[in-house]
Amino acid sequence: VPYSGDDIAATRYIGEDVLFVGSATSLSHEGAVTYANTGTLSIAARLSRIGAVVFANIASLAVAGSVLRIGSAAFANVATLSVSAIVAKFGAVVYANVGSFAAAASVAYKGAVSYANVGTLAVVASVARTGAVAFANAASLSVAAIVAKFGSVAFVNTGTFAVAARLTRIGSVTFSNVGSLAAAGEVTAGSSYLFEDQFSAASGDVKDRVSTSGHTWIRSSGQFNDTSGKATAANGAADSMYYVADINASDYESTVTFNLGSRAYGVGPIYRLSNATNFWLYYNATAGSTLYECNAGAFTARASNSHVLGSTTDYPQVTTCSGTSISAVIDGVTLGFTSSFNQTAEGIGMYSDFALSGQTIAGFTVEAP
Amino acid sequence: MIYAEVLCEWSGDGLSRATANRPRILDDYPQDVYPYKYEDVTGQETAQLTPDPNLFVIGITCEQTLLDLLEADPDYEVLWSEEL
Repeated sequence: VPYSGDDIAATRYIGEDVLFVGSATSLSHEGAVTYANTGTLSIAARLSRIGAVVFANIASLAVAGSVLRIGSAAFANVATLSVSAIVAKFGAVVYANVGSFAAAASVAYKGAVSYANVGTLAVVASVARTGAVAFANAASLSVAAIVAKFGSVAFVNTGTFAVAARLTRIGSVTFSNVGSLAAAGEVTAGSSYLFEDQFSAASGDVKDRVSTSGHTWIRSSGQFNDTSGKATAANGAADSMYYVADINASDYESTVTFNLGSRAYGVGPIYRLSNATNFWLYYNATAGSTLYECNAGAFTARASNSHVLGSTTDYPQVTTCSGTSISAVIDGVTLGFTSSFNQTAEGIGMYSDFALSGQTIAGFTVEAP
Repeated sequence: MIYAEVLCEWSGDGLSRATANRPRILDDYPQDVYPYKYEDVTGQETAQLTPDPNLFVIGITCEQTLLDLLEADPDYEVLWSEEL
């Protein structure tokens, strides 16, 4: 469907390729969209739901909505580009020979992002959540948020680069021929896990500490201390509960090693936590293990076993959260339950009873299934 | 070893982990005959606990001793059981 008119707000072409020659505010549902040799272009809504989007030789482009949901997007020889929403939710995004680019939201949610020969680039939100990010021959680059959450990041022949936050949480980072680089945040968080804490500090309260994977512990009650490889419930502390609010996943496999201490008081990990009063708790004690649902502060013992656990013994626990299922193997015995409660909650944590003999949690990791 | 499904009451007030909503079997019988394993089969939402009437189905894995005690106890109704 060729189109050369102006002001076609809300017009949609479903299943058709659309060629815009003039300015336009609308888009295609499934077909490809191509903009070529257009003076000024302003778009108030999403350009394409599935098809590819190509911009070539456009003087000025402003997009208030997402460019596309699934297909790839390419910007070539665009003098000035401004995007206030996600450019692509799943597809790849390529910028080549773009004079000036400003994005107020994420550039890509899952797809890869490539910048080549970009004059000035400013991004105030994440560049990519999952995909890889490559910057090549960018004169000046400023990013105020995370560049990539999980993917790798590469900078090649970049003049000046400044990042105010973390470059990537899990992927690798490569710099080659970069004139000036300033990173106020972390370059990488240093962990291949969704969450990891080895509690490696020799002493001190775990509260407000940053885990091995870069997450911050929040204290709800009691006290856990770092003790050179373990989080140990402080003697004399009342029931202790610490948590990490968001690990960006609710389906995963988690490993932890717990020890009831010499007086054998209860201890265990917390999963699918949304806040301090809504979560699932594996409570391990001498008489066995119990899976508690804490819902709006009310505890319910949904499943339990009488598998006896000894004092001063390290026990491994491997927990799998998948859909409505939460299940753990504790010292070789399976304990689980099926429920949609907090199924998508992305926090984790740890809990201990009143402590007299130092119950411990060690080697706390969470990885993608 | 026996698996059985039993009509049982909830006890506890849920206000803390120590006083959590829990199967009344754990209050009525000594620890040496506790089920080796149990699971809330009904899965009623926490907001509706304790239900009226206060009954839910619990699935237990236990020794014959506990099953005999439950079958003789008018506060419990063994729905079905099988040997494992």
